[in-house]
Amino acid sequence: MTRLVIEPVTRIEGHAKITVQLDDAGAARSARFHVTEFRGFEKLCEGRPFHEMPGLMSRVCGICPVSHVLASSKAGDMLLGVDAPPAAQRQRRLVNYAQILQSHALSFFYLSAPDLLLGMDAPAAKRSVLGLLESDAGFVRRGIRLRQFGQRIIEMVGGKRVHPGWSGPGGVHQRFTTAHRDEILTWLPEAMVTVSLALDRYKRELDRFEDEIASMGSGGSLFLGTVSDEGGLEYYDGHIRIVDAGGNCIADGLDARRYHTFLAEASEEWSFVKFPYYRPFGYPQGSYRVGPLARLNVARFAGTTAADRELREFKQRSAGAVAESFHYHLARLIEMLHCVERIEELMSDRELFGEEIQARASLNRREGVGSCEAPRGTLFHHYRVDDNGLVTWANLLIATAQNNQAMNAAVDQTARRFLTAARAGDHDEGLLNRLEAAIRCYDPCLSCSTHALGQMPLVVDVRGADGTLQRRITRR
Amino acid sequence: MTSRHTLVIAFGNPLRHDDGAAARVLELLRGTEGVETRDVQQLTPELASDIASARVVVFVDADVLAKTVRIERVQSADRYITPSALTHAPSPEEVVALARGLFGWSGVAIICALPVRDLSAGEGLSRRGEISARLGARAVRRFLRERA
Repeated sequence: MTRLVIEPVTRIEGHAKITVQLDDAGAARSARFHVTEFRGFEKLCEGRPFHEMPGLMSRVCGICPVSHVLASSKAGDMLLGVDAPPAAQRQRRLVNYAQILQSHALSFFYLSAPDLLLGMDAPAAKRSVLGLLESDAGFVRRGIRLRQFGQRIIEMVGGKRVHPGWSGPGGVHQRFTTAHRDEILTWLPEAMVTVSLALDRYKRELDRFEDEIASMGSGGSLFLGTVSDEGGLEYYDGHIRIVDAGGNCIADGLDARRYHTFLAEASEEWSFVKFPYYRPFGYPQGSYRVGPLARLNVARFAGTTAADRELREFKQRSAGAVAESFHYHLARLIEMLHCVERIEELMSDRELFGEEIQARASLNRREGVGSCEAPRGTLFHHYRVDDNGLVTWANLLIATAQNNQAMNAAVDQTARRFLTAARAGDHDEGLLNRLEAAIRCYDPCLSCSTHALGQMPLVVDVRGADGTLQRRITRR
Repeated sequence: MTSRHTLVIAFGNPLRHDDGAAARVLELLRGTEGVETRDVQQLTPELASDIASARVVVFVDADVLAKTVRIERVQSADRYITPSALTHAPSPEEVVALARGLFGWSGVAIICALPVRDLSAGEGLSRRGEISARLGARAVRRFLRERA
């Protein structure tokens, strides 16, 4: 029996490896997705004043720092016992839309479009955004500009593109101005055209991926996400809804601040990421997916014109929930459309320009939970503090972790489908890339900006039953 | 800024002592006529769009391998492009390649390397880091004067 190891997995955020266990005939017997990095942020929080937490939590991630700032700020709101003023809440929503837009643009245009538009079997050297540049520079240019738009909003409102710290317990630290609005308005038409073009183009390409759609994480699971009181797509506030693969509502109206009463986490010895599950169903039956696909599955409507049109079409792909993880890409594009529409709406919302941006109070509670929808799914921050407001305990339930079981199932299904006995020894680029692409559907964000490297070579070790290295394939 | 301006991009993490030397160079260059500055923790592909509107781009970076403050042309980028470069932090060569490939940029790109030693966790520059930043700012000003 041999084992195939892909380490590190490329074009994801963070460090992980895939192990494929082959049988004697060379076919895939099982596969696992291991997260190999350990960071321990929860421990670092202990002893810190709670009002410092948003700034500290911003450093958890360089891709989605806004989500951590927001969840942390909301936990701080709860510790103070206040609601942030309407202007502050509008700002937080605006920056969250901007972050989802830029993060999804990164995922689609930079990381996944090379597979989706050049094909899974394209040469590795070409299968990057730079390879796309050769075939369609205009498309890449639009993608880069779209991400720049999202980042520009974060920079304008939050002060910095990466690790903004403008929001804290009780509100935000600076007002939104008409100058901000005027600049955003100049970007909006181009952003809408870019998302619409990408969506139309991607939908035209989908037929090429029939096999991948059916084989790269199409199994059943629960789906969890935040919805508004009316059951619409919601990213900042609202309640938790869970649906099953048949689209049936399993739980609704759940209070995110009491997440620990309905969610629990299991551990496996081979991964640093835990395996969250819906407590009433147990582990692993209660495993669920979060993120764009889950959000579109739990929401009854989007609430904006173009996104609602796309969401109705999206839901027609299945009689129940859309279970194929490959459709995370499509869901991501629909969410980008929704975010652009929501940003446009906010530009004419007078509350956004309000002067009251900070609710002032002293510590009123010893425990606070904040949640929001991050680009990759529902995010929870949970703190306990002492009488001086120093954090004594923290728990961060990250979106990517909540997709951990699903990612493992996707890798396993992909390996079984594409690493067959008939292709034993023929571990070519297309096969390896499909294993990675199964992970990329989820756009996992395994770490943060503390990386000090710019290249992630792919090394595949094929080991014999006795553990000796038989073959090493290196991609740079 | 017009298409004739110089864009100075400092990159590095100021929470790692002398890695913040590049940001210090920007402080010293603030107010220099015709110079736009951008302080980033790491390079990102979107900078290609900013570069596209500049005549000259200067990357400033703390470098533990540098012996002295060094100003060099960014080399022909195509040779440096790697498929995985855009997942994390592209190099100056790769950002310039994007600016050329996507926006037809034909300006001049240079990199100013600042010799530093201390990249440990913590704020503030060492004496050596501060000296490197001052010499770097002087070198960038001289370069811009000579090109004017």
